[in-house]
Amino acid sequence: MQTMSQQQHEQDDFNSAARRKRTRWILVAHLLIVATFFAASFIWGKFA
Amino acid sequence: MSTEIAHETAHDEHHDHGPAKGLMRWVTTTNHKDIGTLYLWLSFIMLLYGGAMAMVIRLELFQPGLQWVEPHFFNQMTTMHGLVMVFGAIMPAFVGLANWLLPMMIGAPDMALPRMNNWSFWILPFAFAMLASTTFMEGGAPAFGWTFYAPLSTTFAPASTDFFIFAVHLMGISSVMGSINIIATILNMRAPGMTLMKMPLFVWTWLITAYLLIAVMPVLAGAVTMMLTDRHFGTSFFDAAGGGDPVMFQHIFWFFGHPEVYIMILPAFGVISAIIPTFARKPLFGYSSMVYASASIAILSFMVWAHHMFTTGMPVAGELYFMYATILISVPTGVKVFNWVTTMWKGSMTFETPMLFALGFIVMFTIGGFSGLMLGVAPVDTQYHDTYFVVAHFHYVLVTGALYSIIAAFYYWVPKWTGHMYDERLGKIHFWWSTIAVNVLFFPQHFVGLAGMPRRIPDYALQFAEFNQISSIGGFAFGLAQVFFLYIVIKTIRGGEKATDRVWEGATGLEFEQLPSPPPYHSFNEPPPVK
Repeated sequence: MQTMSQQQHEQDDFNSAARRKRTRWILVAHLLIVATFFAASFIWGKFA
Repeated sequence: MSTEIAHETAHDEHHDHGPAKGLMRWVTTTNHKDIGTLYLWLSFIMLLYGGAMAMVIRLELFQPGLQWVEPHFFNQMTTMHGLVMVFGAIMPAFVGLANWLLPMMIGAPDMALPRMNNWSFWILPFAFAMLASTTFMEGGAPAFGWTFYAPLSTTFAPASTDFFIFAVHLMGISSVMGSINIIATILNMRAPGMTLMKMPLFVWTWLITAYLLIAVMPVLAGAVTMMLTDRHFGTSFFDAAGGGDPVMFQHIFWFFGHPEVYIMILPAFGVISAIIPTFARKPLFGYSSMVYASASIAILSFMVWAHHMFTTGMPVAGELYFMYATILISVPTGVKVFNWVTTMWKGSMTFETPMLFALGFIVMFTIGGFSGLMLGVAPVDTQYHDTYFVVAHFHYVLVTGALYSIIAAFYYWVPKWTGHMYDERLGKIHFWWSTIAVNVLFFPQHFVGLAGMPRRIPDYALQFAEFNQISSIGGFAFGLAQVFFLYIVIKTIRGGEKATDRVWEGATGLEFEQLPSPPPYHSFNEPPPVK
């Protein structure tokens, strides 16, 4: 059972597992946006 | 305060290590300050390279007739000048500022993805080396203008265009990686208490800019990929003979190109929003309206691209829509200008070099904004389109706007970065020299443009001679002023009066209040207290 100060420390830690997981999700989500816009430009260009 | 900072520094040094030694420090670094420095130096080198090409352009235009270079080489110069300045000078400079400043401003130890940060920088020297090498290839460098419209860039392009395409892909990959890094850092690495609406405006404007980049760089990549397949793999995206549409290229290019303009100016708004309050000694007027105005500008930037294409033959309803949408952007932009002016109102103002460049930005960027409004009015754009009026307009936006803000940012933060004050007298000389020269350079271009001188030509009618001569003299003087700036930069890095931790009397923000000058190699290993 963590104390409140331990929980706070973990929340503040720049290298906490939760923070790294969030970074990975942000990376993947934004790469998907990039892929979508790249594909959309071809659809707009009307593949001929 | 300084006692606290000294204590913090000693604490940091206890489990800190400095930079590696020698060249490998710069090749392998994952430190945001080192990578920021690399970006800033790269952008300065590219500024001088792009500037050298501008000198060739102004030399040829000094007199009517052909004097110095062949028309085809002149076209290569205008094309490469534009590409190098946009992708090599302005954009990397802002990424360099972001790298140096964002972690320190939000209380983070570094960027969220430091290895990707190293990668996104080190792609760029190769991309620009490849782009620059096209000048020495058979058929010469790309000569189709920085907008690389098809079919000039497809059917009629030189062989070197493939190298250009690959270079643009590399720049795009670098920008996308840099942007995702910035978004991850801002969304996930802020110190406790640093809520979104407490972030400095520079952080906000970069967050918004990063979203613009990840939306439009893939579209640019798509455009050059379609160019590549049209050139070599038998597709006809932009070839009417095969069922394609060359005008479609312009639509796709400007869907990237117009937000690109805001990519180059939104971080500048953030810089100016940091400098004006410091030297007016008042908090920024209308912080939240500045945030919403930045977001509004970004959203609107996606909806106005075809104002670059009024002369391609659009339905009147389309022209009206794009005209009104374009003019609408002046509302949030006006909010920003009024907020900066109101911040200064009744402030205890002083006029150190960063403030001079910031004030120069407000006045001259606004001139560029007004000429932009004129160009956005569809019926009159028919006269201005592809004239020197357009050249004058976007140079007021990009030189006295974006570049001035980068120079202002250098003078404002360099004492924090290096621990040395720059020479104030030299800084003021740099400002006045640049400001007089830049207006001599670009203001007459409005007149020759209104009188009908087209852009991208090496020769012109006799009646444009005087204004072109004046413009060239201003160009040479402005170019020389930036060589003088290089001297100031080197002098400041090598030594100078010791900067205090706060640097400026009115400075606020974590980088000034919580870190010494210069900051330790690794700052904020522990989250700083945020008020």
